[in-house]
Amino acid sequence: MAIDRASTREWAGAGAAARAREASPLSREWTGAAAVVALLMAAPLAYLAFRAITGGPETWRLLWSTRLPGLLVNTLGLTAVVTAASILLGVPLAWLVERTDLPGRRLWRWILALPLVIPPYVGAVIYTSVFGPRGFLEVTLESWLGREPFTFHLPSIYSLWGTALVLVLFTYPYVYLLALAVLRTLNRSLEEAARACGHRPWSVFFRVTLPLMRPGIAAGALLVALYALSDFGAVSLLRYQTFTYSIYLQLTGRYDRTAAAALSLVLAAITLSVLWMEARARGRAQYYQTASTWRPFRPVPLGGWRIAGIAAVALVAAASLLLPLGSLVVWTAQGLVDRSAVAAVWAGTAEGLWRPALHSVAASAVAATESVVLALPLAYLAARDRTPRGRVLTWLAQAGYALPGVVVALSMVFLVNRFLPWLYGTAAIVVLAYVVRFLPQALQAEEAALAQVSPNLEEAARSLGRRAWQTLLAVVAPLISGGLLTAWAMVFLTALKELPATLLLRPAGFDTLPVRIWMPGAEGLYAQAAPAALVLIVCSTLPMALLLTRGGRLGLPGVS
Amino acid sequence: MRWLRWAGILLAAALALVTVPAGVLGQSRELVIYSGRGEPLIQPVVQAYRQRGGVNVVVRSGPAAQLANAILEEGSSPRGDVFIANDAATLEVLRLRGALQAYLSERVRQIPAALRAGDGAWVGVSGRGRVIMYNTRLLAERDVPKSIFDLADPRWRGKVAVATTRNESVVAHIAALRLLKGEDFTRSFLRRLKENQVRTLPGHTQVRQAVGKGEFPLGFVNHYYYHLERQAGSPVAVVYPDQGTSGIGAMVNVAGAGIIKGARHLSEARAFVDYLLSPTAQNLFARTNFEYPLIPGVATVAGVRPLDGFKWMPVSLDRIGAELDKTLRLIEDVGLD
Repeated sequence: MAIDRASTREWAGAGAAARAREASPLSREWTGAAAVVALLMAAPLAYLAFRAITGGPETWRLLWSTRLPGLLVNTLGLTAVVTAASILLGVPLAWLVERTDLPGRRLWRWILALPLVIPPYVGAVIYTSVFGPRGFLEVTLESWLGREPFTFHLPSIYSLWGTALVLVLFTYPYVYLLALAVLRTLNRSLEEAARACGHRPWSVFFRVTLPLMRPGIAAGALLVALYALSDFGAVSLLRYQTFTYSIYLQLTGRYDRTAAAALSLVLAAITLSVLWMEARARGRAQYYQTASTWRPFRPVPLGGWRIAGIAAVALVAAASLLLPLGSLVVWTAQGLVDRSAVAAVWAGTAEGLWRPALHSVAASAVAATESVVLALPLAYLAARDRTPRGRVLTWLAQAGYALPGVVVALSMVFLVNRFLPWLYGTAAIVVLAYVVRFLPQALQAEEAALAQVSPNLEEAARSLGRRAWQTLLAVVAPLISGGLLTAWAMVFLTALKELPATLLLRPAGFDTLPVRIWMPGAEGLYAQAAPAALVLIVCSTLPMALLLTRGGRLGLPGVS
Repeated sequence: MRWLRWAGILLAAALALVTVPAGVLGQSRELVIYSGRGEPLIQPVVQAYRQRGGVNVVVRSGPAAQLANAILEEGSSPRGDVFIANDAATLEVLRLRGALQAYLSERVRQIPAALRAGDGAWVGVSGRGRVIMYNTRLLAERDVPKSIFDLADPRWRGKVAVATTRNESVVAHIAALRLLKGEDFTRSFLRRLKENQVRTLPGHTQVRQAVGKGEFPLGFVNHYYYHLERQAGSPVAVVYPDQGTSGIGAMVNVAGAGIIKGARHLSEARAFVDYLLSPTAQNLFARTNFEYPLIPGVATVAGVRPLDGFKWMPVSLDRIGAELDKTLRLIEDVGLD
């Protein structure tokens, strides 16, 4: 206990923390509520593990002799390549727009973050149609080169490299944004001291800046790796066999779900070990700086490299923003001009686009609201109760992080069938899957917001006779409203783009926009996929802008 | 234990929060169809049915086995009314597990007995043959394999595309082979196919497009996919396999429909099944999809080799359904994707 007190004191400021233990609204009902939520969040993973393990050794032996080795190689290989490439792309881009005199860097800073609004499966639809066999590029080059049709072939997009390219182009902003955030808050004096000691800009970057950016880069790389492990839409469109795709095939093609459960457990274990490795790496490296010495600085002159710098950012922007958006607009326009294509859009989606759009927005909004509310007691626990009990509960609630969409879908099917059969085949199960999967995001944002509220304020309210919930509503809620908004927007945004769990769990008549993109996209009907993709991107833009502008948090304090 | 009460209230509130708005959103109206067929292949008929007015139709599209699983899991409180699958065996699996209810109308009786369940639990709606299609820019007719067993020949290593074994037409075909040639023969054939790097794509549409684009010279599909790809302007041609005197014949299967037991819109479901067997719908299947119509008086579209114009693989469809589980186990043993 003594050790615990000491660490708490260090963390929240002397004196106040010790009193906070008695005064904060961490009364029993809060802890109880937090425990209930945490257990609910962890239940799917636990039940999945139970089903996978009780599946028997025969299942495991068979999987090991047939599918597992190939899936491990493919999945780990893709994750490693995508993570490494995102760092190699995201970090230099962040440095270019933040530390150099690159022309138009304030605008670039924004543009380079925007590919986040384009889900990778939309990117995959576009890249297969442009770079795929008999795609736009191949046919164009063929006629330019004067080759006979079917004799000229580009390297296949349906490969590790093609898949990695698509995933990197639409996930590098995670690394880029977090690297940018670190660069903006980094104390300039360290770099200037290195310069003064005679180091050249490159040397300063590699020997001072880069090591200081490590925690930020690691956090971004973690997000990319988690995404690569959980992606289903892009890998399925690019025909690259990873765990998610194989589990999906099992779930949709077999009556026996033991193998799917076993594969899911392996995937969840891989994801957990990635999280564990990142936590360890972060735990070892600690960098401190004094906060008050930040000041504007002189950018590194690019000189002759200026053209190369502009070319680099322009190329990335073209590949990850201009080409996708351009293609979507062209396809949509073609659809609007060609009447039969319009008919196809309407017939194919049964009710046009407004219903899927409504479903997407409504389900995401409900999931976001619930996540924000349900995460609150846990966030309190995480921010105020540094005992092992608090840590275990917060850790349990993060289970959703380890669960890719297909795995959440499978465990929901298991759990709901077993315990809540009346929920099966309703939209509620879709929303529930979103909450399990994305509540950890809300939890993190709320915990960060709560950490900035002094327990003294709650203590004052309590001493004036307010009860715990009154304190929460009257004192704490207004102080963390910004954090709540951030949490809401994050969950809303990710739920809006969610594909695999929706695909597997949606009831009849509850297609969402991602479903309306993926299903025609997988059949090569681009004119049908494009309008839904555009609508999805439009719906994502507002919450995304909110996230990017809120505070200096993500390193984009507005275009000034 | 005051906190328990609080936790209970919170839990109830959370559940209410989850279910109430979503329940309102997800409220389904009228006839609900679970369709395991590719959307573009079933939408024209559904659309035509909608335009007749009266009944609103909601379609949930997905892989057939996934929807069959959903029907089994929904059990006594089904959310769907009619199940449509690309394969008779999948329907037979549901019949055997008591998830479908009989309907033997005048129109259902028109369908040949071999192409429907005896008790009327499901009925074949349109027919298809399993064929080899090839890209004429990459292969000359004389070089094209004339038997499905040739596809395991090292000559075609990495050059054959098929739909994944998630696809019910593929599974039914393997099940038919297993019934005809035995477990061991089929296992070794599948092993040789796998070693020969046969490429499994997500569905038949992807197979036909891949052959049309010349990614693979050879593909193994239901016959109408060849016609659809040809209609799209690709240089493709077709071979009905194993036609010689000693050949086993080409596999013939049906897409069919069955009414889910406990369907909430029973009379609408029956009317829809009858509609699927009406001349209008049969003509749509024949003309827009190049499928084989199954009622007398509706002709196969010109250019499509008629059902009685080739040798069938001699396996009855209801036997395949009974053996589907064993077939899936065999496929898992081999580990074919």
